[in-house]
Amino acid sequence: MSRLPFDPDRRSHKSKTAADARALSVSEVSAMVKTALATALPAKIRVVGEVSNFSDRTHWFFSLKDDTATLRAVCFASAARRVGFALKDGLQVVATGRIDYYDAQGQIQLYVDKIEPVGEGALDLQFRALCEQLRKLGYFDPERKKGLPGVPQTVAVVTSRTGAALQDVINTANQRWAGCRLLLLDVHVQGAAAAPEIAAAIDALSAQAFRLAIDVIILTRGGGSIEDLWAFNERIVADAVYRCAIPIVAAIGHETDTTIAELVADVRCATPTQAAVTVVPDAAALAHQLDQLHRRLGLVVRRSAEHARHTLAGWRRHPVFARPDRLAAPVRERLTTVADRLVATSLRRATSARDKLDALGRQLAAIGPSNVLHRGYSYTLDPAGRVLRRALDVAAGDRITTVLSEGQLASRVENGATSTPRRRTRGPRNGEPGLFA
Amino acid sequence: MAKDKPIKLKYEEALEQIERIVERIESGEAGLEQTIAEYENGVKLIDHCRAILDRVEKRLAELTPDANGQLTTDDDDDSDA
Repeated sequence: MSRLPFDPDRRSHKSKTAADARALSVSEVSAMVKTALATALPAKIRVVGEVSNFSDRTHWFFSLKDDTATLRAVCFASAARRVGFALKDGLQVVATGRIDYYDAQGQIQLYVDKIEPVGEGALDLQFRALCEQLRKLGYFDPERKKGLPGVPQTVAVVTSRTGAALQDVINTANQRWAGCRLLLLDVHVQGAAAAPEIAAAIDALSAQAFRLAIDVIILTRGGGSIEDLWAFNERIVADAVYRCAIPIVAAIGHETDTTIAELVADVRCATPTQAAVTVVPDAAALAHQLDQLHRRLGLVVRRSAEHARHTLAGWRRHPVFARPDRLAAPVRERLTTVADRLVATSLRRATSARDKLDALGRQLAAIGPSNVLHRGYSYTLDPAGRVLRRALDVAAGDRITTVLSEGQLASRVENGATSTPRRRTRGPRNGEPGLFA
Repeated sequence: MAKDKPIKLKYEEALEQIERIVERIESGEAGLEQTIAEYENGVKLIDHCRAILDRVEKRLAELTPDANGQLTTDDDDDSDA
């Protein structure tokens, strides 16, 4: 028989009796437990554990557990409202509160005032810090974001070969334009190797884009926890996206997840499908546009030809071509007119000349001797044939000739000049024309 | 070289050229003979664009880096970009 720490025979008669004499009530025991807990445990404790059996009924009821033990917990609505994230089974948390005994159910519970995520909390701080840093450096500036090509020659997709995201991109691209060329660059999208791989992929594409005729990149992966997506919050990836020479469309995680890579990228899309819709044009719409362009081209050419034809017809109708003879008519008319005038003028001139001549002739005749002779005058010529003006110039017996208007008379002077000359008539002065010019 | 250009043109560049051709004809800038030549060029460009839209890519090709880090496709078919 093993030695007992006490001698059962030596136990006091009193305590044994006391134990037999009075049994404690449940409430009494409960009160003792409560007191013991209050005494033994600090008023406020922080407990780390995994959430399980979570149920949200205004108040949060759940358990915190680790490998060997479970602790029931309750977070009343007032406190639950202040928790900045959603609780779910499997989440590692640090719950702050007090241990107490819920006597109605005989449960020791943690009454929770505050819940913080474990690990996620740290990552959250890291995310916010890097965000601020990059924002200050201008990584998120809208001005530096590049535009996307309307019709890309080739689209590079940086993602995991085995992920659903890739399939979404392929299917959507095929639906919109089966001719869109996609090139996959397979990378790890989570884990330690991911960030450097993703950065290297983007750098390589940026450097070789021209040679490969790539004009846009889709960077994508499916949903996951913040730890799963963490590679896309790493500085190395942010830098690669920032440096990239060609536009990047990023779709990481679910709609509500935002990673730094997406903030630096030129376009952020909520899902891989959305990314494909943004990058790949609708071929049917483009084909329609081409048809319209073709029609318009035909139309302007037809109009142009019509216009030319119309102009030509117009010229053909023009008198220059329709009645070319009419061009000559006015000229001919003018010629005729001019000719007529020439003739008329010439005639007039000739007539007037003749008239003048006639007039002069008459004038001449008027002042010529024949007119005078016709009036009865005559002139006498001396024997030498000179006109006789003075009787003294001839002597008796001279032969003189008298010229009459008609005919001549030969005479001999009988008597010389008489002694009484008649009144002297004025003779011609020098230069003045006489009767006989 | 001028003849080869349409085949190599990117879709959007071809589209731009077509628009300019239409404008030139519409404005009367081009004479009648030139209009016909421009029209033919325009149709050739439209056909080129249609061909780009109508092609069908066989399968997804993958880029892998070689020893020097140069990315190469596994389908060796980047002769028609």
